[in-house]
Amino acid sequence: MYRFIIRRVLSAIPLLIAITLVSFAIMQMAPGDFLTQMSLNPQISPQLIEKLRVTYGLDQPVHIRYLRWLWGVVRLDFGYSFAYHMPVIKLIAQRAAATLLLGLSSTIFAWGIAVPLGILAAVHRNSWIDRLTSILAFMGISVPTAFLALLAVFAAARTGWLPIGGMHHMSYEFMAPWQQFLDLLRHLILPTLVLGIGMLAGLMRQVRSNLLETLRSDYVTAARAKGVSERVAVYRHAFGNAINPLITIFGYYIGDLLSGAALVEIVMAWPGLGRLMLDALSGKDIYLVMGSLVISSIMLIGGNLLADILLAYSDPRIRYD
Amino acid sequence: MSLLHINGLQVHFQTEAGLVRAVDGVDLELESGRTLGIVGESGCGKSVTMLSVMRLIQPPGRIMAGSILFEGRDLLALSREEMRQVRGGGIGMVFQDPMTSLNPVLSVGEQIAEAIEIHKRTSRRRAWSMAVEAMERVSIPDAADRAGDYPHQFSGGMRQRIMIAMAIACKPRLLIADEPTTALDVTVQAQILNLLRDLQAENKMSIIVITHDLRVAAQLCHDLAVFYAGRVMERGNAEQILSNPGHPYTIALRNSIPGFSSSGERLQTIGGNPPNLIDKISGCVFHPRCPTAHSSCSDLSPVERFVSDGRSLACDYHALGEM
Repeated sequence: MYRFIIRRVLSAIPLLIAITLVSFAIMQMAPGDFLTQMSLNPQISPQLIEKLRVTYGLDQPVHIRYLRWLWGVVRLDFGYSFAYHMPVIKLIAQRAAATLLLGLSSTIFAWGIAVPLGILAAVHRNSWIDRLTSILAFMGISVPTAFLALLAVFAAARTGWLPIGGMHHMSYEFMAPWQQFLDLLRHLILPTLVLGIGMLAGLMRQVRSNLLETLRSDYVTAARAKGVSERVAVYRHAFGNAINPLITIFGYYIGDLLSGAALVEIVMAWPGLGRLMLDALSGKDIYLVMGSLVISSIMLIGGNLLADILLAYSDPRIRYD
Repeated sequence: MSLLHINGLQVHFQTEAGLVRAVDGVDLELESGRTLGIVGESGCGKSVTMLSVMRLIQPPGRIMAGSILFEGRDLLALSREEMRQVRGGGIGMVFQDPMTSLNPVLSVGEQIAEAIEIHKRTSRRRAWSMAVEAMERVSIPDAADRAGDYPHQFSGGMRQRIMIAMAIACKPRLLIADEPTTALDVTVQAQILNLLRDLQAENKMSIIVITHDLRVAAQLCHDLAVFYAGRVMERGNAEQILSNPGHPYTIALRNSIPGFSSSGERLQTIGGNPPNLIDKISGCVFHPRCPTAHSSCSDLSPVERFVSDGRSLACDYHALGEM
């Protein structure tokens, strides 16, 4: 097992290099750089821009810049954001916390509801509860998340029950710690719902179909023939075998934690990585883009690795030797 | 009093194509300590009948009529809780495919011990050691070491032994084996049949073996019931039925199996296909394929009649003549 983990981590290194190389190359294909916008400003002389270009190292050829950046990453130096005048790593750390918080709360929300509802729907197949959850799930799958976010903002604005966006109230700084906590929770509710509903719908269908399949299996009939209760037949025997595909999906969700919320963040003004990435991309703030990309890739690879490790624990047939 | 007495059992499946009468008025009787073979083609209602005894028919299937008396109690009238005590306690069941009938994520010891914990109300440790004993009883080498292994670490024959250990762990009075050897190699088949015979002698339990293989039935069974299209065609002493079949279907079935028909002769086949159980067949269910059908066979449904001691068949023109 440990050898497997080490091998996977080592094999992730060339993968990461490939990802960054391709991304770096694609970014270069778009015309202009971060300073191009400045050159439109008549107040800034072309000489100054040339000087800045040399200072930022943007005058170097592509491969030199990539290798310089890569060497920096090896020393855990992700470079400097042109737009924010801040080390990329610091900037990302600030924003990633907000995104992770949203990602985790919506993941917990989605799984916490999807798993029990999926089980209920599978066990009472074709009953009213199955039909109702199916309809809701299809609605959840069909409505685009960004549109749902707009609806939520609209509803919040009309009713005034919940904040329409952002992460903190204006007077956040002056609140007592427990008030700050409550304020954060209030701000978290809508983005969590919006992001969670999209995940929940698909997940619930997945739980239902996996469980339906294992409920039909011979070993569940054999378990019933031993006299186990319906609960044991469903939870121990059927669900115990239905969770493997869910673990794989769980791995993808972990990989998606940082980047999956981008749309919702932008619509609901959540100060997370998604907006930062978008601004960085359109502003050609290249090292910031690369930094976010590396972090997201590491999350994806790590999430999959975690899923594989969990799979080995849940299914004795899977052994990595 | 017989151990198991099935009377007028009807099991229907409501499918989209129509109502399937999978079991349509089956009567069976089994004395304690004996082995009953249930033979017939695929889809003739053998397995459904036995799943009904366990009350494990899943929707859209439903038991519509009849009674199933086990040790004098009607299983169909028991509460869920009482029925759970019968399953695995009074009646054990072994399934056809040992590759799919064991839970892949639980160790075999856990799966056997689970049955014991339910019925014997003992501690975990005691149940585990009883599970190991059950594995020893079915001749699994190094049982104590191997109880912690998972199903995929065993061969097909060993897995079927584990299924049997699971079914007999609580010393049931009746063991139902649904095609216990069909999925196994021929050499392993013989071992499993011997094992069942030994276990019966040891524990004095009754066995019902579902099989489509007449040779298995001949080796193992005292009594025989021949199923066709959800009904019993002929039943009685196995030796008598196999040596001197009375029902045209039994005769045809026997003649289609190498080893029963005389050597050198061409094997005979039964013309046509088993009927679609959605359509109601008028008269005898076998008459469309019966080589000796009379004109009245398509109108009158034959009643089961007793021809000699314990031997009965459902044919108005059977080969045994009136006795």
